[in-house]
Amino acid sequence: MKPRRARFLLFLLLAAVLILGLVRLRFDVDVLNLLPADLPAVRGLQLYEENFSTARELIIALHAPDAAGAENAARSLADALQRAPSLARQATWQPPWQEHPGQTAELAAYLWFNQPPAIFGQLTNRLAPDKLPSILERTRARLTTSLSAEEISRASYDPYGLLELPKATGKTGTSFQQGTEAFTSPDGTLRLIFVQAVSDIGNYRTAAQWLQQVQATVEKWRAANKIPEDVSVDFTGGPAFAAEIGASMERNIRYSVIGTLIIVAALFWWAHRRFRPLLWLLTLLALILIGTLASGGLIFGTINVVSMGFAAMLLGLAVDYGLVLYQEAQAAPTANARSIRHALAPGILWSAVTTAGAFCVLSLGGLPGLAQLGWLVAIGVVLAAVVMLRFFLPPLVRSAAFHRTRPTADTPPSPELQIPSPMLLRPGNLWLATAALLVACVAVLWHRFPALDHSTSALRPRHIRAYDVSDQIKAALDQKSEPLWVLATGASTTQVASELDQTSTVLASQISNGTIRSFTLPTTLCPRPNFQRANRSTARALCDLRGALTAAAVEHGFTSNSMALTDTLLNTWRQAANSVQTFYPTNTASQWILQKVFARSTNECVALGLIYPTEPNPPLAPVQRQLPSGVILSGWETLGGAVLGVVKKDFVRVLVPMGLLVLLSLWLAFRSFIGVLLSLAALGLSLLMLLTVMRLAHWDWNLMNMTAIPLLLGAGIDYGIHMQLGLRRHGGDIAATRRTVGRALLLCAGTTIAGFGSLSWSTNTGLASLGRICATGVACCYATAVLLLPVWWKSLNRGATAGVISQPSTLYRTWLWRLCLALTRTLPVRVTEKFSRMLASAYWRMNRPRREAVIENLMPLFSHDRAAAETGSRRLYENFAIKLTDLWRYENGLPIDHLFAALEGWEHYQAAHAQNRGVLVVTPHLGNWEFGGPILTQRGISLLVVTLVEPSPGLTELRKASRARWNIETLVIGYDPFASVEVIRRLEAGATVALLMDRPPARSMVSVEFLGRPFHASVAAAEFARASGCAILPVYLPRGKRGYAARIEPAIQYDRAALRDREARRQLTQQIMRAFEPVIRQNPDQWYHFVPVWPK
Amino acid sequence: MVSFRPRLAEVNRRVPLISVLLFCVCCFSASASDTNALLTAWLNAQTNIHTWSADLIQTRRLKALVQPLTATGHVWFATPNRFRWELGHPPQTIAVKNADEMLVIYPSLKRVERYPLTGRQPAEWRDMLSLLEAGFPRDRADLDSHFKFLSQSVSHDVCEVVLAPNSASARRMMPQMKIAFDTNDFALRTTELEFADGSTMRNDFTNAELNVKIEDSLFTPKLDPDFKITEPFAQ
Repeated sequence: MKPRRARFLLFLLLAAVLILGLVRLRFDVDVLNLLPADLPAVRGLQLYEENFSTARELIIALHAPDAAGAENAARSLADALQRAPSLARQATWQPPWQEHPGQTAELAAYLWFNQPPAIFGQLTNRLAPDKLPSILERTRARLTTSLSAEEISRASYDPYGLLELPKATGKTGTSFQQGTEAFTSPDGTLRLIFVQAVSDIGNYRTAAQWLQQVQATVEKWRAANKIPEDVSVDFTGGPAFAAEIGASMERNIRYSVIGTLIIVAALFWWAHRRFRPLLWLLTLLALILIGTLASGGLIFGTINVVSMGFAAMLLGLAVDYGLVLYQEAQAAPTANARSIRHALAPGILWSAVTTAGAFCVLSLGGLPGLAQLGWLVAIGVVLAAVVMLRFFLPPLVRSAAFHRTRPTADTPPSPELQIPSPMLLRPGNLWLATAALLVACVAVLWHRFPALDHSTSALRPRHIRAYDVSDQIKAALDQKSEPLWVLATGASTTQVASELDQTSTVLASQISNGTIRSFTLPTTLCPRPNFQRANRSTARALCDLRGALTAAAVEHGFTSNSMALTDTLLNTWRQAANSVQTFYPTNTASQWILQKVFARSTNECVALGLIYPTEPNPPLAPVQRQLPSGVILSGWETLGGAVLGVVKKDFVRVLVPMGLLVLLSLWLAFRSFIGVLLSLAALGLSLLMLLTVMRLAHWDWNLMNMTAIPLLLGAGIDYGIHMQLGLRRHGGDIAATRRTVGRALLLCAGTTIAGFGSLSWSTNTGLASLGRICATGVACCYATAVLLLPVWWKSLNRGATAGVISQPSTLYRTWLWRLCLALTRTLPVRVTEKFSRMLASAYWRMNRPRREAVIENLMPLFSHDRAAAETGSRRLYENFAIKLTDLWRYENGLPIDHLFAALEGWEHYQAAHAQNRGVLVVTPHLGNWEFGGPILTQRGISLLVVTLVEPSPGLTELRKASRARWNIETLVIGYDPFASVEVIRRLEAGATVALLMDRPPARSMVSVEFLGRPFHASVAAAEFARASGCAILPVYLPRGKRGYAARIEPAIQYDRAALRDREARRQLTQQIMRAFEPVIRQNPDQWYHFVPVWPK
Repeated sequence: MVSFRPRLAEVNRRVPLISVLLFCVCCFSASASDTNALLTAWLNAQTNIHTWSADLIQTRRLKALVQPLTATGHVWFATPNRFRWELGHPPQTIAVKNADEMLVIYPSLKRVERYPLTGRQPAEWRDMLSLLEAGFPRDRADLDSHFKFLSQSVSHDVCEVVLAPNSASARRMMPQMKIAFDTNDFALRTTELEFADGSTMRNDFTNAELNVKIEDSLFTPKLDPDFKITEPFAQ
């Protein structure tokens, strides 16, 4: 298959997957789905919302100036809604049994029929014909002296007291005497209408449409009935919550995404002022967002409203990759897109993987909503890394406009991007600032840290009118605290009924203990098939008494109307007795009550009871342990504590791996305790600053924003790492580090803060607080890392001469050198070489700072093509390994003649030597420069090698002894202040002296141009020439395919008298260095410098 | 998130003792707004009352019964808002109200129901209490806030005023009531409450005593320890 066709098919496949994901995508506004489903409190609330009509009803709150007005309006509006059958199945404005008192008889009959057979059977005795007169006399007496209108009313139409249910039923909440408290406030000015939709409300869009229809009906009703303005109508309840939260979710996503994109665009424009790259960047960000959403659709199907907060976070993080790529493209004018991608891919992918890892750790946090958010960000970040690497640069680099505007390597950064170094940023002042910050933080936090909010308010959406209305209703109805819910679940009604009985016993004992004040369980309302089966014969027997009951009533002065309720009861019993299935009541009042406390589906039956605790947030665990396994205690009041308990427990599970990850990253980055400690100190101060801001702004911790801590650990630590590595690369130059690394971090931190900060406007309280805290935390981390950390670093690394990287590797030490010498003596050459190459390769991989220094050194030799320089650096490490094994053979005194392939220019040496004025052999760190010694000594020429001190005296002596083995004398300058005098004396005596030119000590540095860049070379050769008039011979020994090829260049010509002038000496040095340029260009991977060579 | 829990627990509560309250209203506050001079004079006469007691015969005509039911009893009242009401001989039901609470005592059942008068009560109960507190009106406006004047007639030196409660919930239970007083001495003669189903409850007062000393103990009854006290409105 042709590549183009394959790419097209791949594109089609990806598009299909994308569309499938987007089609499958659903949004969930239920905050309960954010919480751990295995938590009993959460499971209980979910069961309640799924099974009981109360949770799905729209509540219309009607306020009027007076009770009569409110009542009339409520009745009228309920009628209007009921007259729209396509809109409302039921609109209830008062207890149904008050509206239809006659309907109470059916439920009473059902409750009797549901009683244990022994109790129901007692009715046949109680209503025996000989006992009827006494019952009727008692009823008459009650009618004569009762003070209760309700009792008079009831007894009038229930002369045999059949509506008086057995005592145990009293706790089931089945009295028909009142119940208006659920419909009206005590002063009567607030009325509630409970409206059930005709069809099931599936999602928030359906809910919004239905709510709009109801609102339109209300407006029509208002106009038709001329309802005064002072009668207000508000909406709350499940459908209103769903509609409002869903709408606000859409608004949130739109605003936070657009807001973040605007900030990203503004930052990009501020940094680069280029329109096309900006447009392309925004396009890719949009694609990444859509791709992530589609992935979410494929993986999760349904995404929670809170998880949608990922979008803004993702934009803030994803744009960093584009910025880094663009920055690199600008910084390397000759590099093409491929080489930039090749160079940056590992860094970007590693960064993406670690960021994704940090967000994935959220899945350990116990909150499914946050876990989903974490996964979405993680997917998005990885997708962003791939998309940016693959697609961002190519079209830009192909554009001619891009090249026209691309700065050269020497173009200074634009003034806007330079972080100034005013007086405030001077080290002394920054130390003062550190101290002042610490004192201020401690002072603010001395008395109190930000509190921990144990409630569920973090889960609650903000600025939702339905919630405000709900709060107003609670206040008006004097609902100070919610009762706890008892949910009995089981596969059958029999099982649920049995659980209710056991629960009743347990709760009764809890009343005795004082744990709870009272409780209500639907023990009698819950259908009991076994009781009903046994009660059928009794029901038939009671029905047979109808004639006797009527006759006795009439005989005792009751009218035939007084038997209306009794007749209904008897009719219901007859129907129940003839029923084969479990009997349920069917009229409106009965259904209304039953649906409030009992629900059944094909798989599960659920019954709902209430507990009134003696104090808020009672300890539920001991009670729960005593209850049957199918019974769950739940309630909004206890949810916060329960969820927070899980979050706290899981918080440690999140924090420990994250902490270990951070420590590992720090150690891998620095391999130095000081580096690790400095990063931790910066992070610690940032967190302290965050806590201080929280305290001052009165922000509390809650079960959502606690997860900001691991996120900040993951995100905030990066700034410290980048700054410290930058300081190392720049040899401790704070200004340069801030100008380069600090500038890049400013853009990255800006976009990250924008991403998190845009969540502050989220309608979800917890998500908003999470966004606020993360944005503030990132800002604190950035400020600490860029402003304060460099000063701390500089102070602690002063002794290390401004950076570890300016020194040779710590591996270059005496004992290790001895060990290598010993191994070289004993092991076969091939083994030693292979082993050395392997170690060099590992070192290249593991020691990034050292590697970066080498790459930076090689950049001019590879036309600033970073990828090529990187490849060259790798070869350089391998070559160096070979060079070392050869060197160790040489230092062991083993034969090395076979390692030489050629010697060219010997005649130049002979000519110089013949002049009898001393010969100064100069060489760079190219190939195996030490091998120049044996070449000369084997030809009978005594040689003095001038070296600097090695990292340790032992090593200096060891190397000295090794050279001595080949009759080479070593003069260490640094030990002896008069060493230079000795060199001059020897040269004047006609001796041959060897000197390295390209890594001088600071005191003998002179600036020359080398390989097109300013370079510090050793002026010592020129100084010796001035002092002794010696011949200067450039020599080098690169390794070719057949071995080391030594080359002696013709002597450098100079005017000794002119060398009195410093500039002349510099020019002579320049001349010498220029002689090395061709061979170094030919063998860049043998120019061994492991510390930065290019001056900043 | 808010849940609107099922209110079945509240359903279990007992309704207020409407008949007691209405009785009191009728006894002592049948002075609804009226431009009529007789009613105004009767209203003025009420301001002189500090205590009042009388025997009563209560006649209940219920739709469910062919014949009316009759009971006798006694009532005591003391300003500003205390009363004791006994029905039956010996008393089958005793209702005692003071400033903070009302007790309904069933001696034969050894049961007492306590209704606190502080805090927030359900709407119907509050309506009834407001009617009760209108017992001796402080002014016309106070009465007008609770009652609507419907009609008035005078026959044989007895003036009968028909009133309706302003409160819709109270009116739903008791659409109207009648008060009859003597046009000569402004003594209360009868009250009659009419219920929603057409049933009526009439009180005929005899042997009335005005401003005689009534023992405080009558309004603070001592309850036997074996009486079971319940609070129907307590959750």
